[in-house]
Amino acid sequence: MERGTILDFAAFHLIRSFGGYGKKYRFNKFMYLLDKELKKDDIDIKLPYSWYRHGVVVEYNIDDVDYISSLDFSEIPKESRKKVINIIKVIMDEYRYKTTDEVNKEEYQEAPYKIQDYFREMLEITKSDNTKPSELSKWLKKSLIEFPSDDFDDIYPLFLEWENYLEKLIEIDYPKKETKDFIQNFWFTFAEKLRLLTCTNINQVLIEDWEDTYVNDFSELEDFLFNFSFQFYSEYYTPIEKNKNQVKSEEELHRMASKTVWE
Amino acid sequence: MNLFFDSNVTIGYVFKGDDWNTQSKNIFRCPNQKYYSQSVLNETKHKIKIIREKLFQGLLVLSSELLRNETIRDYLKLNDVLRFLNSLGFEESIKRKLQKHMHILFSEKYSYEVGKDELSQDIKQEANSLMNDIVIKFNFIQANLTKHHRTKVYISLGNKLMGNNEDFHEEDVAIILDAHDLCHTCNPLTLITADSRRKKDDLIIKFTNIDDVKDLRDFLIMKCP
Repeated sequence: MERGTILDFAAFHLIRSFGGYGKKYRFNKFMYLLDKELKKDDIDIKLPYSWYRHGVVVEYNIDDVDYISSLDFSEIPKESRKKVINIIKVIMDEYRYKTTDEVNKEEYQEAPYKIQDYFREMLEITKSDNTKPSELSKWLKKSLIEFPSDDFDDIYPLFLEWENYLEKLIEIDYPKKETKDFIQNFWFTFAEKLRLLTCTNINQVLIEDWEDTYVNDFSELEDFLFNFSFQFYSEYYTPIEKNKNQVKSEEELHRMASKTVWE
Repeated sequence: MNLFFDSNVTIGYVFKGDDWNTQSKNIFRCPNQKYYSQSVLNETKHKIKIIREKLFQGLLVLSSELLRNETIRDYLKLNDVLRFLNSLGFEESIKRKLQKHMHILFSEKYSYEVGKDELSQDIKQEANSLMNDIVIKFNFIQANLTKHHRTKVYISLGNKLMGNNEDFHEEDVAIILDAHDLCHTCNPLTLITADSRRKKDDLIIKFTNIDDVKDLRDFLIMKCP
């Protein structure tokens, strides 16, 4: 019989304790909580996780429950096994009847960067039918103030460009669906760097894979914002009067010069 | 006379701070039929990308840092802003451009000092005006100039130009070949460029169908070829 680790043991018992909708999603959250509690008792299950687009993601395959259940856990100290089972029970008692959104909100209080919670709020607003795009402004402003520019220095100028456009798009009541896409365009690239900075117990091959993804996504975001700038200033941006007149006079001079010769 | 614009003409036109801005604006106002090509458009776009990355985003960083920095005073004089700008770690050339923007902003708008929130908003506005101006002029180029699509490669002619003079770069030659190709259907044609040199111009006229090369420098005062 193949030997299982304390991580396998914890995963197996957690999976057994809940089921149904949002399985992997809830598994991620609960494993993170479990790990946090176990660390207080000096038990390190070496949980492989990172913070990503929608919260914590645990790199553990929960699909093959039969395999996990076939593992031999006898070498794990009895005391540790008992602790794992007790904490899972406490977590289940507390969270079993909470909605995924409630669990998610609580989890984000532990997020390493405040901006993660602000983006969660912004995406929630764009998802709901009962919200106005103007509600985004508050969170956008908070994101600008709290953006972690030391850790995310490379993407900071792109964030500012993106924020500049979004601020104006909100003002002109840009359609909700497009606003959501626009937010995700930045957020998903940010999240690639986020998981690189927060990854714990992740193997080097996977990290290198994530690094490649980030480089690729970063360049796509740059191109997206560059192309969007043409659309933005051509269609959505209203210049202050001074500039409007300046552009008008350019066109006027051009027309006058043409007339002088041809008339 | 038909005119074919090199990329330094279109770049000079779209970017207010470019060395060739006045000359480019003057030649743009001429009533002659004006042409450009995809290579010219690509180089212009590339330059816009650089301005956006350096100056536009630089202004946004300055605007944002004024709001985010908790140690900075609520009301600022020009010297306070310049000192703050120095502390932000911009590369020297961008820093100089941003300093210039601050000097202009202070001389045009503020009498002595300004609240940092207002200054931050004005700098953001400045960044948007800069990009807006560039994009509108870029659109203007596309709407008012005729784009020529070259269909032939002209390998031997390209090699001839490159082999004769070290001043010819691949990008320059691509644009010269675009103009040469246009001459089959549109002549006489004058190439307008800021890269004009006697020896270089002679080679272009000798090897290609381009009738004349005019130096953009000569259009500092409004006149048409």
